[in-house]
Amino acid sequence: MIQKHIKQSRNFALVSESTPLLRDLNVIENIALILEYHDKISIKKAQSGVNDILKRCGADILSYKKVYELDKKDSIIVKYIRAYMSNFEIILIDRPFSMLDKMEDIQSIFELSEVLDDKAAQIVDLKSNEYYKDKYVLQ
Amino acid sequence: MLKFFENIGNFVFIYIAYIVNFYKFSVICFLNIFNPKSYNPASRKILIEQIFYTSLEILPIFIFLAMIFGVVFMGFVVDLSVKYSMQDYLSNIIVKFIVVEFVPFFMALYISLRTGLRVGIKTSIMNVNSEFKTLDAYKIDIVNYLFTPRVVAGMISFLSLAILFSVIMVLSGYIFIFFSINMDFTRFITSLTEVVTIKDILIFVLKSLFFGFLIIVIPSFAGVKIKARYIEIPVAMSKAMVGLFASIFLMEVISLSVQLI
Repeated sequence: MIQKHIKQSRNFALVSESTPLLRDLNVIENIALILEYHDKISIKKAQSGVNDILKRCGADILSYKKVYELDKKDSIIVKYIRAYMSNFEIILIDRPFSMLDKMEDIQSIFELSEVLDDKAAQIVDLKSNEYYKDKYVLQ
Repeated sequence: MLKFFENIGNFVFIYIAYIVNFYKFSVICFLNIFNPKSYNPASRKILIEQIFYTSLEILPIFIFLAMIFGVVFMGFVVDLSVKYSMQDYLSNIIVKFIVVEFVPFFMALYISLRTGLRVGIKTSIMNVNSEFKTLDAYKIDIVNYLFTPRVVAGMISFLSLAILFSVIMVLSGYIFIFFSINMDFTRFITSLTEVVTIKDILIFVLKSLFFGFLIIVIPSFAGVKIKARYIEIPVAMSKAMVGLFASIFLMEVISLSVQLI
C-alpha cells in the first residue's frame, strides 16, 4: 500500500543521510521552516508549534541547539520530527542504522513513531532497492 | 593539433553554456522579485538577516570610511578645481562625478568583497552539504526561499548605503570647501540641488539597484554550480569574484557612456 502510494507520487518525507539538516539554522528553525514556507505560518507561531511537538517527544532540550552540536541519534530524531511536521502523509526512514552510532539507538526512533503515531513511518533501504531507487532516491 | 582545436571548441561550448545558464538564473531571480510566493515568513527572515549583514552590521566602519573619503577625496577635487579656476563647476563635479559615478563604484567593490563573497561561500557550503537536496525533498524552491530575498536585500541595502555614503561624503567634504573657498552651507546645498537632473537621479538609482543585484546573483550562481566538493569552493569563488568585478567595470563604462550622451 505504502509502496503503491510512493510509486504514484512523491508524497513522502524522507529521513535520510541525503537530506541533512540546514547548518545555518538551529533545531527549532530547521523544523519550523517547512511550516513557515508552505503554510505561511508566522515564525513565532510555527516555532511555538514545533516546540510543543518537541516537548511531546521529550526532545525539547534540543530546541535551540545548533546542528553541529547534535550527535547522530539527536540528528535522526530532529529529522524524524521535521518529516512529521511536513505536509507529507508518509515518513520514509532510509537505512536508519547507517545514521546511528549504536544499534540500540534505533529504540528512540521506535519510541518516536509511537508518540507521533498519526503518520505512517516505514523503514526502507533506498540504496539497494533497485526497483524503487529512481522513484525516491534524490539525485 | 586536432586535439588543440577540440579543446578550444570544448572550452567555448562550456563557456557559452555557463553564460546561458547564468542569464537564465538571473532572469528567474529577477522575475521572482515580483512573485508574491517569494515573501513567505521563511523568506522574509532571510531578507531581514541579509539586510542586517549587508548594511547594518557594517554601518560604523562604513560611516567612518565615508567621512575619511569625504574629507580627502572632496578635498582633492576642491583643490584641483581651485587650482584650475573651475570653482563654478564644483557642484557639477561633485554631483556627476563623485555622487553618481564614484560612490556606487567604490561601494560595489566594497560590498562585493564583503557581502558577495559571503553569500557565495554560504551557497557553496549549502550545496556541498547537500542542503539543497533537503530543500528539494521538502518542496522548498531554493530561488524563492534563498536567492530572491537575498537579491532584494542586496538591492535595498546597496541603494540605502549608496545614499548614506553620498550624504556623509558630501557633508564631510563641505568642511574642506568651507576652509578653502569659504562657501556658506546654504549656498553649497543650493548649488548642488540646482545641478541635479532627473537623469542623474535615474542613473544613480538604477546603477545602485543593478550593482546590488549583481553582487548577490553572480556569487550565488557560482555556489549553485559547484559539484559537491569542498575543494572546488575557493576556485569557484575566485572565478565568481573576477566575473563580478568585470561586470562592475562594464556597468561603470556603460554608465559613463550614458553620462557623455
